[in-house]
Amino acid sequence: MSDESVPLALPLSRFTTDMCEATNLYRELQKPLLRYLVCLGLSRDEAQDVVQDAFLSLQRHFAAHGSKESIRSWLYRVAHNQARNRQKSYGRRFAAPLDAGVESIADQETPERAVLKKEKFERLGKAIRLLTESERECLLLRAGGLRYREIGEVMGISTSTVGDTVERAIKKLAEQCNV
Amino acid sequence: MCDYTGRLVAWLDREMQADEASEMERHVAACAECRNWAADVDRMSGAFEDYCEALAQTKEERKASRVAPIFWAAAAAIVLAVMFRYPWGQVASPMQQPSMTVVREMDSSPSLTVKAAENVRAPSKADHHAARRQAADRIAKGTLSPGLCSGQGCALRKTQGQSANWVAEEPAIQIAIPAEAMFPPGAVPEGVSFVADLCIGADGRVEQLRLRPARFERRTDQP
Repeated sequence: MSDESVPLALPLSRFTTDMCEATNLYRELQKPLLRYLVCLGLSRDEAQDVVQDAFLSLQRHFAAHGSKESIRSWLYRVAHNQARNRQKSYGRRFAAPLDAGVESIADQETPERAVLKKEKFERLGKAIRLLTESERECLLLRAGGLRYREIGEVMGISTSTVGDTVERAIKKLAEQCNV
Repeated sequence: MCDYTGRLVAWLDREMQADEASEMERHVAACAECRNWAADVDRMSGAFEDYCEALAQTKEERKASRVAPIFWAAAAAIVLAVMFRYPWGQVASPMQQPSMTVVREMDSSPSLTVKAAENVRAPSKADHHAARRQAADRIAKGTLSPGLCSGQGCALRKTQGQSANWVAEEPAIQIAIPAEAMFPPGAVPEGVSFVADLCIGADGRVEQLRLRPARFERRTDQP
């Protein structure tokens, strides 16, 4: 084993730039992507596997000189498809998205506030269960900081449809929660 | 119902063209209904994000609470197994145990030459057996008392000492990543690999990763 550099067909500077870009993307998107997948119904372990696979695909994409435009939506789409593939290959439904029930209320909350928050989450959970799958996914991706255009790319729908879906979903939630 | 409320979410999400957005802004400033709806949308969005965050945390806590008892049970089992299986009475403390250099000075047998430290290899089972057999032969012949550390009898201790100072010739863990996963086909010459140096912290997380190209020599001693 030697440390001497070897001639590579791929310029090392390009390789390094791609690596840096991938690392920055990982830092930026790893957490929201994990949260998205968990809320989509995956277990935490499964979500972590999917995130790793998605970033491995990103490395391959960069290595194959793939386009760097809309890379965030590309990454979400890969993760989204992998999650759905797992769901199909396991032949079972994941836990219904956003349906697990929230038990974690921050310790620093006073008991009264914790109870109020729990009630609010229960109401919200019931309202979320009434949303359609595409409405839930639109809201989840929007909560992850994606633009409507990016959400449309992930879900394979037009930007205007995303706008309408988000609008409709929020209206439903507001009605159910009596906001 | 105001005609503008249908486009309010898009405006709040900054998804409108500049001229449309400024028109919307002027309208919201004048329309109380839209202002109320904007506040509701904002509240709903915040609540939804809080809910997602709490849900993600809940799943993490559930996993931790499920794994923790298994982890502690496994740890306790390992400790108990070590306590019962380890031959405490036969092993001297590290302070009492002579160092490798001392043993070499005491060694009177010229036939036993320990390889230099830079070429130390892990003792094999066969080494142990051979050393034990030779020592037993010499004890039987009366040339070596079991309590003395000299000659072949020291071989065992030497190899034990070596095992304590054993340094792996190669990295303990090698992860093979196919070149085609990172480079286009034919971009990397055959026989070239990358070595990833990982610094793993006390909590098991990778703290630093350094990737460097390296040439691996194919080992001839392996089948």
